[in-house]
Amino acid sequence: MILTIENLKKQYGDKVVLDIEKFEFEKGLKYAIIGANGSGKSTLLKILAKTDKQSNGNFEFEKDTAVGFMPQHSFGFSMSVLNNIMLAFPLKYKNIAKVKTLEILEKLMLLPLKKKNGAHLSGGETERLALGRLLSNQHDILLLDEPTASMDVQSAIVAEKVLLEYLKQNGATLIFATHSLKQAERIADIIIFFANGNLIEYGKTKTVLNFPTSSQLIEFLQKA
Amino acid sequence: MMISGNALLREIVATTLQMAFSSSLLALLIGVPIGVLVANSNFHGKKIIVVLMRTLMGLPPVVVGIVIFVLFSGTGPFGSLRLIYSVDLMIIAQVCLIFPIVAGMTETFVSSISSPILETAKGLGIGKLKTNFLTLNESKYQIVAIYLFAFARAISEVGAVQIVGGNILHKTRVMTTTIALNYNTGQFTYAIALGIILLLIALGVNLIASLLQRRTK
Repeated sequence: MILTIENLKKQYGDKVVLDIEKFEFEKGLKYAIIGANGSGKSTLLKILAKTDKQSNGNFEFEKDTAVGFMPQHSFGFSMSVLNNIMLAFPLKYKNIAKVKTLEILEKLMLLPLKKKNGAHLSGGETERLALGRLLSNQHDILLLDEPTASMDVQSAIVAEKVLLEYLKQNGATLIFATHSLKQAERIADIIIFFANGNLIEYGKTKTVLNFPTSSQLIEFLQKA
Repeated sequence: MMISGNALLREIVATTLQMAFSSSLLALLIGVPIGVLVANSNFHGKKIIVVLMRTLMGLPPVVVGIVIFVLFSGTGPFGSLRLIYSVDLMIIAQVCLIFPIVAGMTETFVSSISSPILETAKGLGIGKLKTNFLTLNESKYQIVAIYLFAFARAISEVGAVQIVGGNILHKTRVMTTTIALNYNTGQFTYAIALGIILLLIALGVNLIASLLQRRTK
């Protein structure tokens, strides 16, 4: 198991926003977390990425696991798109950084924007930039919080293709939060459904989407 | 006086500019890293430090002047440095007054923008030092504005520089202390003329800073 979660809890005062008893993530698989707004998806990803702290409980990554995280609100630094991607490269790869960066920019259709200021991009472009920046480095596990939420359909499909190629090449594990059931169906091996901070149901993608068992998931899928 | 100028005026303006530029730049070099570090770090007692920083922003210049005077006077702990009544000590006093303002303003601004920067940098595995430089890069427009404030404070301050500099002719006399002296001796025309020159200098620095800000956008 690349990641094990035990009794993980996050609360603000009396309000519990995340409460997971136990869950194990298998290496190399792709997990989609679905659920309504405020169900705990982002909270879980932030805690796993260590940009937020849990109130109780633990989680443990397999030893020497390199974790990459793309937050819900992607950020473009005030420098060229090219430099935005290059800053993610470790110093030891500096000599190949530019070539690799240009490759990533081309794959994500960002090459025409390479000289543009990263802070002046549209929402969808910023997400592609953030994804490219993350994928320019080697990670064993990727935590993506609604990675294509602001992208148009065509850009999202391209981004998914690049992401899947990266996962295959690196044997990396993916945990991503999404509001798009179609995207979850296209990408994920396993779907995890959250409601009110609780992990309600999980299983193989087709099983969860076609044969939901919990009333909450059935209701969620009907409304989706 | 303003149109023809004279040697004494040129000397006073030069001393003023030396003091104002040196102290505001030093205050910037000390205050900005402190502001960024405090804003980007999480540690026990952070709230107390922030309150302390914001309190120091209101340091009374006369009090700073007296404390610096006592510390650097002949019998003070730093008396052997023989800095009393020198431009160097005026710069030290100004830095003590201004760097808390720079640090406080930087901390307040960086805290308001740091969340997505820290999340992104952490997600990419970028170290703390590089993250702080990235934050600094994102704040450059505001830092120019903070510098302008620091410079304005440095060039217009009179209380502390009067005490530690002594307003000595050909040595520590600056525009504000000259204005105060002219006022005390009833030479209002000179005082107002100097005030106008002071404003013109501030305008010049503001114009340069505006050009710099335009380039950072």
